[in-house]
Amino acid sequence: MTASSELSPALPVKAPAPAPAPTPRRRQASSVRTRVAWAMVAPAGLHALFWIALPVLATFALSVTNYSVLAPLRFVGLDNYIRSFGDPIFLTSIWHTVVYTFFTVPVAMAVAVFFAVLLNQQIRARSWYRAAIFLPQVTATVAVAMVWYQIYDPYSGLANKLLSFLGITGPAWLADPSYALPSVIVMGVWQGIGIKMIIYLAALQNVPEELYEAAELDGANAWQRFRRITLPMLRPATLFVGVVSIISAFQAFDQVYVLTRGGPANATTMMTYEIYKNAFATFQMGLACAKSVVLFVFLFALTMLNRKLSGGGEDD
Amino acid sequence: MDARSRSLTRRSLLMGGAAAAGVAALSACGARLDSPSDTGGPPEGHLNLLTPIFPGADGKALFEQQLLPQFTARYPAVSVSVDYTTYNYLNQKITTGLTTGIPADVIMLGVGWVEPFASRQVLSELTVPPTALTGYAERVLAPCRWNGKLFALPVVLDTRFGIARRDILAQAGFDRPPASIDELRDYAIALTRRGSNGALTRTGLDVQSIDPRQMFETVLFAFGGDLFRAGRPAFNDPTGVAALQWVADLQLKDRVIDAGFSNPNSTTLPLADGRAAMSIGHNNAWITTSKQRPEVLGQLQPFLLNPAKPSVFSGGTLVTVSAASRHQSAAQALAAFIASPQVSLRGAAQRGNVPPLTELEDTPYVRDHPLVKFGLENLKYGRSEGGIPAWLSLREEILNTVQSVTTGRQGAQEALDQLATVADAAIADFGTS
Repeated sequence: MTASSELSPALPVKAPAPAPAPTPRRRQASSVRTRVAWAMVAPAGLHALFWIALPVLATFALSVTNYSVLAPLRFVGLDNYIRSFGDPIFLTSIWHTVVYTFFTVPVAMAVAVFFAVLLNQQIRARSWYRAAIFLPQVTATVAVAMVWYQIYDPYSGLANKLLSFLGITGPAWLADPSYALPSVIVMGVWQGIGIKMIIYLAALQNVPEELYEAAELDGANAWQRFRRITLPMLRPATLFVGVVSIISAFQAFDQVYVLTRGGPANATTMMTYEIYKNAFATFQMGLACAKSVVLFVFLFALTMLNRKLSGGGEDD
Repeated sequence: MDARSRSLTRRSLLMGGAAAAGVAALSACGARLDSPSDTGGPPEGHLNLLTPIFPGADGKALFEQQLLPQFTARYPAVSVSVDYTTYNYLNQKITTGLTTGIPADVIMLGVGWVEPFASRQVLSELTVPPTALTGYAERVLAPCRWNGKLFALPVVLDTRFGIARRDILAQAGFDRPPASIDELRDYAIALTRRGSNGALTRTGLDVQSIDPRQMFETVLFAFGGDLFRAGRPAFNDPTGVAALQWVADLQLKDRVIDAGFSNPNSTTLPLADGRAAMSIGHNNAWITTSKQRPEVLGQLQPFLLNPAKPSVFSGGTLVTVSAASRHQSAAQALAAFIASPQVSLRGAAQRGNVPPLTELEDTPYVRDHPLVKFGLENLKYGRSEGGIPAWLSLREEILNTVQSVTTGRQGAQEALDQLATVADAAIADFGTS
């Protein structure tokens, strides 16, 4: 049903007059417009075909082969999938990815809301603070990870130096399996705050001022205004930030690669790192493709969830 | 859109997808479809060289301004493009080269890498006259061969052995380095120092400043163990288990060193700054110390971990020729040039490595670098990693095995048995694929 028929269902609809036959000039103009349209779409289309569709299809195709770069291709059916789910390290990596996501996303979101609310006030040098908090987002993860690598150095790093002022002997953050994953998570939280804060800030600026004024007149204190107005008004942004952050957390790689290389003793390995290891360290490309498909299924499910929660599928 | 056209669209999409995947899969195997265009004749053509050595601006300047011109002067019809990388990214570079069907003509790779690539016909057999090989110890050439054929030549070597601080040993009343594995442990315990709060101030034996896999292998060889025998895992036999348990005990039982005390990426060496009395170290500790604490250079004393079963870990960089190179004779000539004494010596000097040719023993570089000299003198005891075609599928796993034992997560026997299971599967996979 079209929008116009919804708006005026009872009105008699007059049958449209038959369109006049297009003149040769019109036909030519239409043809030119079509060609121009194709030409304008072509770069994006070619990009989507060669850099997205083809690799995705190839990943699916290669996931049922023994492709190893070094050996001839052979169809192996679901062997790579069976091996993946029989591999305790890959299962551990799935668990680590879930744990990493579970901690980085909500914690970073909470901190981001805090900063967004704070930096939505009229305070001095507000722009500088905003820029400072957003900076980690636009800094290369590898560079950020290198800095954190130094911070976590058990003997000369900032973390243990600060703890030593309190009389505490800090642990070997990245070398002790008990602390390695939490250390990676802390870095993930820190790096993720910036983009979330910007989205929340944008959402906050759309909250009508009248709501706060009315609440103030009714005697609501700051906490009540935050709880009853700000948080509910941030709900759409929270849904968006949440799902996008979860998808991003599932793809975390650089920080693990630079900080720990999945160690010690696989204590920080994640799905993306296992895929990388299979593809480029052990040359088991078919197996890496199968694991990529598993990751793809996770991400696809999360994307569908995002669409459902944000109402993206309703106007299709 | 009617059902028929929807069905057609879906079918054509599926067919298009399958065709695209097929094209991608075929292109993925492109490396083996190429065949060399020349099989002899005078060297000519444009070559691509992939190298993990000659790092940084200095390395590039050395190679391209001082060394490579000697080659191009001799072979004016050959030009060379150099792709510099590090060992961290070498796998990716080789993989993408093979996948796209355009691997570098001349590839420099590590010890243990020849078997996987040679067994899959990725490398060309080198046409080197036997007389050109007389300058190498046979143990240095062993990792260059596969099925009795020569596929690589050594360029620079990385040796690992014990290094002691003579002054720290003397302070503790030791007038010589340890002479056995048991004595090494006793020394390590006696030389370890902790502060009043229990924090480690000096380790008796630093086992963390080199890659954990290579550290374990150095100890394994010192115990007289092997990684593989007759193509099967041997590292989980009683000798291998004892070697790994020995390393774990140093950390967990004797508390000679704590987790995270040092690491291979650290820019400072505990041995140089006095935070370690001894270490299982690399020959380039001399270069690192000369930058960090030159005044203690004279105190560094290399030693064999177990003189009763003498061994030094011998890794290194080898030069190979891609079977897909379209300029075989030029590529072979470049490989021979890179392995020549003048290039090898300059390359070794830039990184603090050991030159592989015994004739270079009497050069100022070797004479002035006692750790390099020690490595070169003991190449006759050289033991290398690798040895099976499936090695690349396994090497990453050894790191995690060692870490899981040294952090107390698993016992040595259990961890090595698990690793052996992985190794058996990798060997079987490689055999059937």
